[in-house]
Amino acid sequence: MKKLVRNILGLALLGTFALTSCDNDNGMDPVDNGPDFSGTFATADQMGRPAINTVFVPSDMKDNFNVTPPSQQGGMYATAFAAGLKALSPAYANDGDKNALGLDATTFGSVLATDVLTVSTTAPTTFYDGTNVLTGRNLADDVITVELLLIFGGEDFTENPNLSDDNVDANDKAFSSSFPYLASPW
Amino acid sequence: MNRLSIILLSVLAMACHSKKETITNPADYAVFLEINSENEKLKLAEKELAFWSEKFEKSPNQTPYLIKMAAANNALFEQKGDINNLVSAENQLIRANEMAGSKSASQLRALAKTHITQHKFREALSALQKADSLGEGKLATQMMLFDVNMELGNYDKAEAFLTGQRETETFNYLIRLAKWHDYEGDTQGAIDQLQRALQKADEMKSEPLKLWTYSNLGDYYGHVGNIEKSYEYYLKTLAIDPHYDYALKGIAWIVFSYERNPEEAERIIKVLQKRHEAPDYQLLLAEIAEFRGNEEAKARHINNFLATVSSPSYGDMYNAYLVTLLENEPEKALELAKKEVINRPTPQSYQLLSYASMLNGRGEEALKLADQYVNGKTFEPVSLYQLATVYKKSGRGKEVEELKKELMGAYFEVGPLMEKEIEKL
Amino acid sequence: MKKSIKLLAASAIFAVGIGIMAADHIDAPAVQGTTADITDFYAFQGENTSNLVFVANLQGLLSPSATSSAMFDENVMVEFNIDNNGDNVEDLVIQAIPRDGKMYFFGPVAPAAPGVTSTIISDATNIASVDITPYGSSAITATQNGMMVFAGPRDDPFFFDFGKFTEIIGGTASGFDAQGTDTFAGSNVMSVVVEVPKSALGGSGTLNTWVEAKKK
Repeated sequence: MKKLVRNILGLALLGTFALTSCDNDNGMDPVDNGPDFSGTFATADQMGRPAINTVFVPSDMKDNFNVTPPSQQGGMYATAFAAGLKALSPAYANDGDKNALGLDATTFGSVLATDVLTVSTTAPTTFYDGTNVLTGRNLADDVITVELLLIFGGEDFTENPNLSDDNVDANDKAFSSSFPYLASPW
Repeated sequence: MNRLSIILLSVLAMACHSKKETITNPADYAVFLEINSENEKLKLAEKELAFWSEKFEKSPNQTPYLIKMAAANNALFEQKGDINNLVSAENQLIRANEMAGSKSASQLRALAKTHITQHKFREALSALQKADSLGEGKLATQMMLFDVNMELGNYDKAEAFLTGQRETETFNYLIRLAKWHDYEGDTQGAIDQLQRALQKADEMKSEPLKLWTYSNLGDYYGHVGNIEKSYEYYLKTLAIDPHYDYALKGIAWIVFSYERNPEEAERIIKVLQKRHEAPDYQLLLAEIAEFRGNEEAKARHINNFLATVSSPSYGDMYNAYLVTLLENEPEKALELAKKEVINRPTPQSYQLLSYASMLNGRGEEALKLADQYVNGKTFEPVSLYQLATVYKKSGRGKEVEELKKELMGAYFEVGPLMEKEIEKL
Repeated sequence: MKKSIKLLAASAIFAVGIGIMAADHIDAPAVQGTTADITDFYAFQGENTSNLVFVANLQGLLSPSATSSAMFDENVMVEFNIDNNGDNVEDLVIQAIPRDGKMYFFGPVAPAAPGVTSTIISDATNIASVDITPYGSSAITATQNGMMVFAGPRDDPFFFDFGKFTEIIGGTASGFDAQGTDTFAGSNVMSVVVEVPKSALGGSGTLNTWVEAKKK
């Protein structure tokens, strides 16, 4: 008799288990539940103008610069950027030295420290095309050479010619004129 | 629960069954031994190396290409165990750092990572200190400094890093906290932290981190005597990546050490040997051969091991093993033990030095080292066993008895041959 | 070595305690992931000049074989920030996050709060999604709620002799080569591209923009 009771109990348990796992499956089924977008996200990396962190930010400030909101960057980094420019480039060695935009190290440093890319909604967008300055950034813009010229090129882009152009002027693959604009992968 | 209480529990558990039960089933892992599928990671690493090498040949001033080549070589070493890949990686990273004037923190960290694999912990420390003073990627540098400080026996510095962290809910933090628990002898605490790390790896959907955590859990469950769990986690590892040989090695150890089935363990190791050149396999085979009483096979495997690791490419990677292998060359053993203490001044290394001193008839010195640097400072069973032999020869019966008690719960970890010796203590 | 081997064969070496399985665990895995590394940010006028295009590139220097297995990280949200009143505080954001093979876009929409922490504005009225283009397929794009969107591997549009620059900064070179090397030639990135009407961005002619990779 005891044995029979145990068997029945066993069966009952089995049944419950089977039922429970069925229920679980149903509960888990994401019929109409979309993807989960919950949670808090914190800045790990950021970028405005090209290569600012690579070129200008002293190594011991890079981590913090990367997670400082742009509205606070100016106050925190302008001085360091100016000092960095002077240390990096002979074109700012003397008092009164300026770049081709007419900015001295202090002014240029404070412009760069707030790392946002300004974009015009009315004019053609370009990093620099000889006329328009910083109205956006196109895929084909030679932004590094522009930055190098502004750092090393002095008042008329002629100083330190071996530092002011990396002599790589264009991408190795043509861009498309329509969305998504970037070239297909290699 | 600390290691001691776990060990006591395991002793009780073991007393219940004199004949070991069988946990493994060849049907569970046959599929991983007979895999015909290509090793995708190996294939990718080969392609990576070819791609970036070709670019570097054309433009030998591009440090980024060197870094990529080194990463591919490291991946190849991981997959195949060919020491030449590791040496190439090191050379490429040294070259890249020279070219960059050691001004790139990420390149310095890459070099340190390779040096850790090579057991060049002092070089790793030096690269990381440079990276730390440069500043970029500070947290990553500090994490690696923790790893290296643990290897160098700088436990205060390692602990200071852990307690100084504010962000403690990250994978990288939790696996280091686990390591700390293990160092303190709290293996169950280590397992708990690894389980939390596993949740993070799951959330990140990171296959490499899951593989790493599963296989480490396999090891740690083995250390606390939970062989079923250990086996389960090795199988979980293999379910994600059938080419993850480390997990099969763990299963082979269960088959040998726990189930006492040397034939099956040997069969597994021999398959692994064909896929991966790690010299460690020769030692496992030698140990199995000794267990089976096959002196000829044992000598052959040790011969192979010594021939392999005597290549300068291995550097100091196997010194710790060599010290115990060179029982009949006491002077050489002592020399290597001294070197190991310099490279890695941990209690385990000091125990090797103490052991080697004993071999050379310097009993007093051995005892002094044991008292000063080892006793009470490590929970590693192998070190504890060696410590017990030193104490035994010095007539310190009380300490021997205490150590013996602790060691009786570590039979699985140390294997059947050492078990016999522990019983004789 | 031969001499020692003969001698060794006679001794019970494993009794000494070599502990092959007890000694080392695997080294800790590499600390820094690259899935949240932004390699580049672009903002330019679209083919339709009433639109602006934002591009964020992640995970640089992918070889073709590495590209085939590269994935967006589901814990990383790409957030384009738009300040339309000149205070360098974002007034609008466009958020992009991958889920199960699709990239979801939210915005332009006001953020829950400006700054370094964000939640996803999943109830934004402007929502778009697109299948992430697999490597080897032609670009899959989608147009929804006035937005055009794309996500997937692309040729890295950036060009720079980064190797030479590294040497100059490291003090081991004194200047660029007369013919530079495009370090990024032949390599790919993971791109997120979104094109939106300028009218949805506000402002009076000039916007300040930047991109963030935010981790859960």
